[in-house]
Amino acid sequence: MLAKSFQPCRLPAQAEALRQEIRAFLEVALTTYPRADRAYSWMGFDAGFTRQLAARGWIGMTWPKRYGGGEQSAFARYVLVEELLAAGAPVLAHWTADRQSGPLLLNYGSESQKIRFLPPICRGESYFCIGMSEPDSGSDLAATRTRGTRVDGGWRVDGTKLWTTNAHRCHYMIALVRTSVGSERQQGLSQLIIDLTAPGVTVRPIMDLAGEAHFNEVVFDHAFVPDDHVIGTPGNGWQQVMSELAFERSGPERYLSSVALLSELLRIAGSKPGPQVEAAVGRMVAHIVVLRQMSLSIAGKLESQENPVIEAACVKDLGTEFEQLMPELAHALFDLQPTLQATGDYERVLAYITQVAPSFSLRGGTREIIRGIIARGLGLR
Amino acid sequence: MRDILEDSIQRLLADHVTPAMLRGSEKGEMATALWQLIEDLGFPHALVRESAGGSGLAWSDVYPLIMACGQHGLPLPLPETMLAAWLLDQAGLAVPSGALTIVDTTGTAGVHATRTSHGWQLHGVLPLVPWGRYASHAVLEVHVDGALHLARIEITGLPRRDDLNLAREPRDCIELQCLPCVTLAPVPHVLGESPIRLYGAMLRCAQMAGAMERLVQQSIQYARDRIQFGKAIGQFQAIQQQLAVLGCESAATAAGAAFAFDQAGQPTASFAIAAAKIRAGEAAGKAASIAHATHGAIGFTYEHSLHFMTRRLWSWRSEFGHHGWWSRQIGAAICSSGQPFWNCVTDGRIDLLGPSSTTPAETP
Repeated sequence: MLAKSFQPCRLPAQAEALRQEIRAFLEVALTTYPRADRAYSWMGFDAGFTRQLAARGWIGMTWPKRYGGGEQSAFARYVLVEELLAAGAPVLAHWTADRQSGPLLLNYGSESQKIRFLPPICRGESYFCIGMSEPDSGSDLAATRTRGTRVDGGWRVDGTKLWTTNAHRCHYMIALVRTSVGSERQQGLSQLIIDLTAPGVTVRPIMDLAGEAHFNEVVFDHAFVPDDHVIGTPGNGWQQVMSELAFERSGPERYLSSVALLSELLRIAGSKPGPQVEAAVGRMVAHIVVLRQMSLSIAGKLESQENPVIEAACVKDLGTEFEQLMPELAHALFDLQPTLQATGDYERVLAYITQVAPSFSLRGGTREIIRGIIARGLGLR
Repeated sequence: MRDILEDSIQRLLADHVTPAMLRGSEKGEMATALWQLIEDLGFPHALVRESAGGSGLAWSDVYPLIMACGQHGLPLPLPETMLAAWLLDQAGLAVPSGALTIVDTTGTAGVHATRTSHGWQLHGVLPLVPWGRYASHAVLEVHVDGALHLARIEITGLPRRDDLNLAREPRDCIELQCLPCVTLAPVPHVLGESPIRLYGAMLRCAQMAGAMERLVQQSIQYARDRIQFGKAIGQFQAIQQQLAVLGCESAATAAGAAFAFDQAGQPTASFAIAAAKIRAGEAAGKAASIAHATHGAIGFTYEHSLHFMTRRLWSWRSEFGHHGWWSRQIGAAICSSGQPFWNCVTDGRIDLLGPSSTTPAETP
């Protein structure tokens, strides 16, 4: 049962030692990064910051050295990620490649793919995005329609990917594509590395309700993808994608998206804000403490090669619920209005988080899909 | 060790703690035969040092045991006795045999000690003492010369006003009028300013984790068995989504409790326990609500066993500090720490339960 699945996991001393090094680095690197912008969390983009991290060996830090990695433990990376997110550092440029695309290539990629694609990621020069959702394929990923047609030396790709975070700044997309004619549902899907600068690829940013353009529509019109850009076995795309999603659901990013709001709230609260604010702060921090332990516990399981799919879904559901609770709690604390041109950082952060909060339980699998996975784990489906 | 302990307590409680026993206990019958078995297995002194005749186990070792007590609704003061024994042993005081209890005086006028020619006299009211009518001795906090002490007193036969929590577990008020001959010892510093409220809260976290685990099991089973509209109600997405939430709340409670037990006895204990109690307290109401919604009217009857767990959750969440009280403790400590909250989280240390928190009537 789930109740026994979250054993305490203590971070090794080495990983804790790294924490101090990271904080010292961030203290300097983020000096001029505006406080209000830290609310972007992992949606904050700064190519220069990504290069600075790369110079420290902090991109692909767990990967083999022969591919440019640092061969450090998953716990070291865990500490790095939670420190970056807690500080609101702009990590988007390398985020997807470091978290998902790189591990996917390490698991399923060919040797030549690893040699070609991983070192530039580690140098902070190559950015990846994920092409899963489509106009008619959201929660129902198996409805994927983007198709790859066999041509001489590779595949001709036609179709549209939607809601692709950061595609307008990325070099490559790893897309889920239907490569078997007439195949249905989970069958006949493959993962292709698509060069976003290739002919036949059009990337159109989509403005979100907050007026920002983080996600995109990517249209493929006879885009050519060479054979050596197919990841793993053609037709095995569904299995590969499912294992990829496990990386995506339990990390610190699943409960720290709104954390800038707490930092700014504490700044205006002062040292003795009174019962109401104290109780709200305590409640938020208690959630963070427990979610962190749950997330760490899963990191421990991943480190010992277990596959905690249900536990990860649990952390995502609880984490996003908490991230969305934060602005709701904050709204009722101070007689301040969130406005877009506010001079106060707190008001601006509250304005931003309030607007983007709905996305927290959409990205990476909607709340209802996640709860369906948990229900299956409980033996109900 | 943990597994052997867990297996033996699970087997014992599954065999003995029946709905009939729970109903009997609610009518005022103490399960003395089961208590004898529990004593014979050495559980009450599991946390006492081996040199003092105990088993010398750590809190993290006995977490599954306390959780099992919650899961079965054990109608006996085993968690309280284990905590009382541990506190006495930590303070270097002898541990009596039999059922013991602890007294949380936080937020009340407390107990005062006056010096007499023969030692000490205690005055005050012990509020809502868990299983007070069945315990031979109680452990409580007393300030002597400005320093926090633990006192061990015999409570059998003292004037009492009996009360029950929502689960009809005894919570008795006991009056101390010039009670002489008490045994006192200073509280070791590492236990903090209010160890009974703190570690009592920790016990309730594990018990709530156990009770919620039981709610998950019962609700899933019921959802599979109950047929409506021609199919098991667990086939409906509306029910599946609700039970997923119940599973998550139960998991968060258990994760928090396991972490708290892992930190027990260390300077990081108070932050971990406070967080766990807040999380468990928030989860308790949601979990009980979903379990009842799933069970429908049958779960609302006294005949059905669901309420043994839900009434315990509604009681335990308010014992040793409700989640609002603990939230204020953490919030006040974070706000006045002068540090980024994140550093407090990763260090696991904040100053909770300072002397001011023992003053009455401060919750909003």
